Amino acid sequence: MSTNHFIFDKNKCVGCEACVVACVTENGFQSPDQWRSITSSNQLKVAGLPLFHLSMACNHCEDAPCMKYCPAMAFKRSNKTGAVLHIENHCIGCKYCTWQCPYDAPKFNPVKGTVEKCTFCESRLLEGQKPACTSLCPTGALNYSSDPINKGIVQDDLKVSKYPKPSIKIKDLQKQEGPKMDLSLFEGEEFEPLEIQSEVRSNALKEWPLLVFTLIVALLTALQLFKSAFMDHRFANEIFIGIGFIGAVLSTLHLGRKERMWRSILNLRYSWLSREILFFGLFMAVSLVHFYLFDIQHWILVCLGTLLCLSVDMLYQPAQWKWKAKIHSAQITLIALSITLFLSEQALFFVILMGIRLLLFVYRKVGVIADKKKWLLIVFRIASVFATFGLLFQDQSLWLLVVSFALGEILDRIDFYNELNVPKPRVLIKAY
Amino acid sequence: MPLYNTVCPRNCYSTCSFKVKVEEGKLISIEAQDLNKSTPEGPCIKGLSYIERQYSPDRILYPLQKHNGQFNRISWDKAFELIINKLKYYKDQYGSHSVMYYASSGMSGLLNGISANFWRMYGGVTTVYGNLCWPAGLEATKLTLGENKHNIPTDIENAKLIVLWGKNPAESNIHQMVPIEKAQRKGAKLVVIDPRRTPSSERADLLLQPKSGTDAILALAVAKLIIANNQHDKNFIQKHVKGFDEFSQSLESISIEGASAECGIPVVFIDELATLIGTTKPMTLVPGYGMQRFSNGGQTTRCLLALSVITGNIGKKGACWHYANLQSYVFDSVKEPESYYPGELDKPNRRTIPTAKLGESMLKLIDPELKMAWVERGNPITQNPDSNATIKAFKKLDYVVVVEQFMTDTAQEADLLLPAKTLFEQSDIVGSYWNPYVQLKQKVCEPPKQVKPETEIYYHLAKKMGFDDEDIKNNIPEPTDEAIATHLNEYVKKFEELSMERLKQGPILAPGLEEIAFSDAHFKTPSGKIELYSEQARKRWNIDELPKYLPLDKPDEKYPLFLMSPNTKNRIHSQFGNCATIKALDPMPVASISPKDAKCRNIKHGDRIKVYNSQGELYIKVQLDYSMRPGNVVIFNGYWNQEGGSPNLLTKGRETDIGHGTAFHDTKVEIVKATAK
Repeated sequence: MSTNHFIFDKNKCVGCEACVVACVTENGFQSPDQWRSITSSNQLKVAGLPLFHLSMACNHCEDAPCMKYCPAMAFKRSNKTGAVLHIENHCIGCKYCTWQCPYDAPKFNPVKGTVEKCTFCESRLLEGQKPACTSLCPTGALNYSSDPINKGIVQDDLKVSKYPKPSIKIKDLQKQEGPKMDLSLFEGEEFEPLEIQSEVRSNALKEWPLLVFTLIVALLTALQLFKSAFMDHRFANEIFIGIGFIGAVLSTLHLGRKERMWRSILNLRYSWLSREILFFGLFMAVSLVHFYLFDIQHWILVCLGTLLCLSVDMLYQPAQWKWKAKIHSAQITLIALSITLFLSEQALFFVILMGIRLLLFVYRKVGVIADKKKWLLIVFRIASVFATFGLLFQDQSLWLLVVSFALGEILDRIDFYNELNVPKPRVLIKAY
Repeated sequence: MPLYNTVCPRNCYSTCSFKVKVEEGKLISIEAQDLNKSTPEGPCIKGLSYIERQYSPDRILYPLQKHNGQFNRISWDKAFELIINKLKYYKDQYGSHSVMYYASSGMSGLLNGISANFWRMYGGVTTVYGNLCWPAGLEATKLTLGENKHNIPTDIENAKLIVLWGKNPAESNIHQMVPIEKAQRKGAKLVVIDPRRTPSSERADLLLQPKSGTDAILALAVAKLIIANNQHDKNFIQKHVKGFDEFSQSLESISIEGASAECGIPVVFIDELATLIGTTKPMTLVPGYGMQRFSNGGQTTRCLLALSVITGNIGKKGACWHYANLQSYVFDSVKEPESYYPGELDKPNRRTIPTAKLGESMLKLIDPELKMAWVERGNPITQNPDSNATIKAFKKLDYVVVVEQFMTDTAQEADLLLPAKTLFEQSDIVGSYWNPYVQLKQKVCEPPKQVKPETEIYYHLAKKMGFDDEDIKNNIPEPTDEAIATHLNEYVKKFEELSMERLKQGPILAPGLEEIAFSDAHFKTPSGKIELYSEQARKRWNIDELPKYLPLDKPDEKYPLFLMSPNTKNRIHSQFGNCATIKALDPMPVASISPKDAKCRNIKHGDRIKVYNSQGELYIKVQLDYSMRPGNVVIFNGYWNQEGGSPNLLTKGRETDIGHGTAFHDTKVEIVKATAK
């Protein structure tokens, strides 16, 4: 294993961003995000609290999660320098690596439709030079070394739970507190932590193809689980296939490079995205065979559907770090199960499951309602559950019941996408 | 690939040495040059943007003539013809003083003198005296110590106490943070005095935030305590200081409580500062330019300097008054600040107006009125006080020629725009007011398209004006690289330590350099001693012989907030903000205010506000700063009006008490949540 690594000394960095510009000069203009960036603590400069900076690009981790989990195998490690390198023409632009990296190193470039990232200035390293950012830090805060280093040591206060053994050594502050100052000047000043808007990686509006695709997965699985007589009608089969086809098309829409879609199943060993695509393909193919060629054992279809739902849920696992409960009320597996119970008219189990999901929803929302813009969604979500219950036992209008139930599920899933979030050093060091 | 040594010629303390890699005439990259011990790690964010800046699509590459508000490309022949006709016409009709030559600090170098030579040959024009930046402090230092020089930058490592007073090196002189950090690691204490909590103060032990313009009373209170505690250096004072007794007596009228109320620093903190300065040796006091950009700036600087003087922190390792180091300006016959003063150069030829009141003075000039202006290396519309008056004055002119690289606010006012060279396109010799090196800024590539260095423009103009050939030969080098090298060599050959060949290898320590300034205890004052009591102060500037605190003008209730317009790390004055890389990091100007000042005006973080006073108004976004002393609005200077506004829309043209500096920081404003714009 290469011992090349960055050294960052918090005592010396004044946040000048020369490293950012050094990188741009060496590697070309980077937009919208620069490969290297400075993250500052205490951005409001609250008096009495310290302020320090971190300069971060790629830390070329020993257990690089971007490389491990890339569905398209678009990363490789350089034998000579240990650099984790991104292979642009292998990248499908799924952005999954941007969720996996705790240091926010891969940056999505919407113009190219692929991610891009720090190369450790490999060509410079091979010429015996230091990476550009480290050779041009005016205060010497950012440096480079190839001396032996224990990459397994938990580094500093980047409170990421799993450490992928980054190639960086951070020298901590010698003086932990900020400057002594006359705090009476600031008495009575109240501060609210800045809203971390820039950290939200997705929203339902932007990710609508994925939102619809995952709901389709839940619906199709439920239909297979339910396996009513309904399913063996030619007409119904064609609806099933039609919906599946729409799902397949939608699932490619969020990719930056759709023409490389086929690469998405290359990493079955580690990537839940590869598995999701594989299971979806198998599920649809086996269903087709079942409908048009010969009977397939029903449990096989049910198993494939379940695996598909689980892989969809697992896919979003890295983004769930912020949620209070590990299970989200709008996991696709739960939605599929709810639809199944709904279709099979298992009213009691349906009410129990929906009740649990409602509790999960409320638990998650307690204390988060500070964002007043979202109260409407919460009210509608809760109302839809009770409306569904009411309509279920009133036996009035089937359509009203279906609409109420479906609307509730869609709202919950919208909330799921709105709440997706991934760790970034920027969030992690902003703890006051 | 060849690497050329060169130097950043911006108006900045650091004056970094760096190396530039060139491939087939194209600049490829910038590398650090560690032969310069003051800037061994390489240039800052701005210097690293040079490659982008060199090839910016926004660069002006042709002479451009304005026609119906649009700039159109014209040939040099046509441009020369236009200029010659104007110059001849105005001289004949109104006299040569109807033409103003305005040059500022956009690019330093010896060749800049050639521009002045041309205007002298033309018959003498109207120019400015004074300076926008630092002369109050320069004059204060000169009155007291006789000269402006300080220890080499790395000597700060030897200090046990470092006081940054009104200076924010983390943004304006980043390389100074290196020896400061080294000293801190060896146990030195760092004190910062600034109404803002600057990036330089983050690792400080103590941050004192006085009310704007009251630094002098704080310094005098500290001096009083040091003397009362018997911590002054009696031996040093007896040997080297003139006027200590008078100074000490003058402090009797000061009460610590009164001073505390005046400057807004609690007595315990004044005590703490006094104890630190009184008991920690050696101390390096690093005054910035911030606290001297007031109408009492010169006296304020004298009061601060008194602290170094009475504690004997002059002329020793780690003990220094670190204001300005002009030791590398070995070629100047008249050094700053005198070179700024009216009448010091070209007495009979020149008519001068104060740069601190540029717009107002231009408008007032009669006999003759100004008709034409030539601007180079400067952007007065955003950088001089009272932008509105400056714009008005430029609009009133018949003809404006601007030599520029980019379409600045001033360039927009031009009738004729001439493309300017970059630092890579002509060799020159550059000194520094901080580091001790003489450096060669090497030509490493040809000027692109129709760009011509100013010396070449003037050469052709001089020929076409029909100036005497012998006169031209003596004043303006021919437009060839060899002629420029010969011209520079005329300066260099006077010093045996220097040669053009050696300068190409890297920076050279200034001949005659004193690493520890004043270590010989030789002070070029009238008395030969350090003068706390200065007759010159009274004679030249009509201020008190002793360092005194003079409160600023009575506050105007309509405008209760001080406007500070400091420098940001992302620009040097109005340069660099248009680089795409820097723009991505710093897209628009903001006004930083304290949450207290925001709350009582119902302003929230991110709101758009109007900043206004009787001078003008500026619409700008608010950023709350929870460590800013209430009562201040901070807007970095250098933003162009076309990108959201320069704080100079609000500043008043006013000179400092001494040195003909500019009292930008006397400006008071009010803010209100914006309703329109």
